[in-house]
Amino acid sequence: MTQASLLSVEDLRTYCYTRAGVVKAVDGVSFALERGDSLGLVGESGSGKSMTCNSILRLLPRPAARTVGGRVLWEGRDLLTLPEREMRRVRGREIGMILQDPLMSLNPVFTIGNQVGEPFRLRGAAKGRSDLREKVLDVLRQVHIPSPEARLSQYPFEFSGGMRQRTVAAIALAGSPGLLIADEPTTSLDVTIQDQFLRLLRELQEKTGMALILVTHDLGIVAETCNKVAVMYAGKIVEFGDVRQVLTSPSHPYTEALLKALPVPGTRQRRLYQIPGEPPNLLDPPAGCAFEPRCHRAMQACRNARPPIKKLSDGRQAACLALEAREVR
Amino acid sequence: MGTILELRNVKRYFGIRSGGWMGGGGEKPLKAVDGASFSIASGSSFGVAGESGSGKSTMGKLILRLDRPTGGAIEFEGRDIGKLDAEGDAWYRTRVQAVFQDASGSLDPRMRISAIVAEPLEIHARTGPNRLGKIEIREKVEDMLAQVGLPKRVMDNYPHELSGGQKQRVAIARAMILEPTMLVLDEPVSALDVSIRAQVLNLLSDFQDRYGLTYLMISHDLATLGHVSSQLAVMYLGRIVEIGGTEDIYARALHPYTKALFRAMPLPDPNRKKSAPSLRGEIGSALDIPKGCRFCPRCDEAMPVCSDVDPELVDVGAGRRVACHLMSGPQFTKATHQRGSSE
Repeated sequence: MTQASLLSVEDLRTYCYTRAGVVKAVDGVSFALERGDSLGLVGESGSGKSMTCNSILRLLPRPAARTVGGRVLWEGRDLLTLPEREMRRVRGREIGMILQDPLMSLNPVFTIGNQVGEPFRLRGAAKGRSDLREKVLDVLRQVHIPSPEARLSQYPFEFSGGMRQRTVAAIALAGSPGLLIADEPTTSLDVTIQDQFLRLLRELQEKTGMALILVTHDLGIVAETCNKVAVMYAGKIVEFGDVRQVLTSPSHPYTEALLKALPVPGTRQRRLYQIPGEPPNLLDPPAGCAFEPRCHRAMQACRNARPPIKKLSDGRQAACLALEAREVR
Repeated sequence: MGTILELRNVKRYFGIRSGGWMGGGGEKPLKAVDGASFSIASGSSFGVAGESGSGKSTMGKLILRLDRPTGGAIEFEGRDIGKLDAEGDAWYRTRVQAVFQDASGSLDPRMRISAIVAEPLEIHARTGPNRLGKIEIREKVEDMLAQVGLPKRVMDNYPHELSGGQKQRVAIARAMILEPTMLVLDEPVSALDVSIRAQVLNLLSDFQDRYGLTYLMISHDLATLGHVSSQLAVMYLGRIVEIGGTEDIYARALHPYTKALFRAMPLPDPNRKKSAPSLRGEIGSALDIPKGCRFCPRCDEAMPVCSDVDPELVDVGAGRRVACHLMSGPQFTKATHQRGSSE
C-alpha cells in the first residue's frame, strides 16, 4: 500500500472487552482507498464491518471496545494517534458519516433547517443568516429534497423515511467531506426509495470525487454502487478486490458460497445452496480459519492457523489456504 | 388442486379522526386494503409483494383473523371465516398458523423453548377426544424440533440464548406443531443473514414437500418471493395492481409499478447496466388516495385517462390480471405504441 492513498487502514485491531471474555471484533484489517473509490464492506452481522468504520472515526463504545493496534492513515496522518481536538475537525468535515436509522440520527425537537445548518454554524462557514439559509437550501437541493424552502421549518416527523435519510446525507455532505462512510444507509428504506438513494450517492460521488465506504450485507447493492469490495468474516477481510472480479468469479469459498446462496430471480429452483452451520462465536473462535467448519474446500491444514490475506496472481487479495494451494499448482 | 383460500373484494378501512378538537372533526377512512380478490390453490405458494404502506401486512392479519375486514369475505376450506363461532375459531387456528419477521419479538423471553413449542398443543389438545398427555406433548415437541433442525438440548434454553436463525426455526416449529394446512409467512427471512436465509427457505420448502402445506408469503423482497412462490400478487396502496404466475411476471411484468420494482431490485451482477431512471416520488398516503389510478402520480407511462379513472383489475390472458389503463382495450394499446416510438 502506497503512502499516497487517500485512506489507508493498516492491520487495524479493535477488541471488545466483555464479562465473558475478549472479542476480537476487528482482527487485523487492512485496505486502501483512493479518491473517487467506493468500497463495499460486506459481511454478516457480527463480522466486524460496523466496528471497522467506527474504529476509523474513533466512535467506539468506550470503555467496552478499544482499538489496540494498527494505523489509519488519512491524508498522511494517523487518525488513531490524533488528539481528540483535531479528530473532531476530521469528523464531519473531512470524513462524513451516515448511519442506518435516519430517525435516530435526527433530533426530533429541532427543525430540519436548524439541523442541516449546524455543521455550517459550527465551522463558522456562513456569513450571516441569509448566507446560512442559502447554504442549507443548496445542500438540500443537492440531495433532491423537493421544495426545500418550505421544508426548512419542518420537523423530522413530518418527513418520510426516504426524505429523512436524504436529510442525513445533506448533513454529512455539508462539510464537503473527502470520504463518506455510510453504514447500512438503506436498510430501513423500501426498494424503490433505496434505488433513489443509491443513485444519489453515485451522483454526488461523480460530482465531488468523494470516496465512499458503504457497509452492507447486500451483494446486490455492492454490485450497483461500488468499484471495490471487501468481504469480512469473523473480524477479518477474507477477500478484497475489484467488484467485477470478486462478484463474477469469487475466489474465497465464503464469497463463493454467499453468492450461490442467493435466490436467482425468475428461476424457481427447488432448493437453494445453503452454507451449513452458523458464524462462529467470537468469544471462542476456531483455532484455524474461522470459516473452516462451514467450508466446502476445507483441508486438514485449515484447522491449524488462520490464513493470512495474500495477493493472488490476478491482483485481488484473499485469505485461504486451499486457494493458495491451487495457485501454486 | 382445489382452492383452499379465497378472498372476495376484501376491504379494511380504518376510521381516522381528521382535524378538529374534542371530537369536532369528521371521520376519514384510511383504506389499508381496498378490494382484494384472489384465490390460493391447496398445496401451492402464493406471494404478496409490495412496499411499506401497500397493505400487504394488513391483508395477512385479515387472513389470520387477527383483524376483521370491513367489507368482502374470506373463505377458507369453503367456510366463511368472518362467521365462525368459538368452536370454528379454534378449528381455524389449528388449520392456519403464522411466522413473522421478528422471531425475538414473537417468542416470549421468559418461556423455555420446549414450553413455547408446546403451548399451541396445550391450548388446542387440552380438551376433547384428541387430548394429549404430558409425555405425548413432550415427544411431539422433540420430534418437531428435530424436524426444524434444532438439537434436543435447546429445549431447556431461553430465546435470548439462541441465534436469529435458530429463533426463526423455533417460530416455525411452533407454527407447525398443530399440523396446520396453511402458513402465513410475513417477511420470514428478512431479518436473517444471507447464509442463514437459504437454510430457512430450504426448511420451508422441505415442509411443503412433506406435508403438502399451502404458503402465503408476504415480502418486499422480489428475489425471495420469486424463489418461493408459484403465484404472485403485487400490491400498491391497498390494491392488487398485478397478479399472475410468478415466472410469467418475472419474464414480463406488465404493470408499470411491477416493472419499476424489478428495476429497483439490486442484483449481484456488476455487469448489469441500469439505464432507466429510478421510480420517482414515494408511495402516497392511504388517507388521501388519488382519484384515478393510485400509481398515476409516480408513473412514467401515465396518460390523461389515468388521473381520472381508477383502472379495474382486468384479465389479460394466461391467468394474469393487471389494473392498468395501458392494458385495457385496443385504443389504449395504440396510444402506448405511439408514446413508445416518440421516446
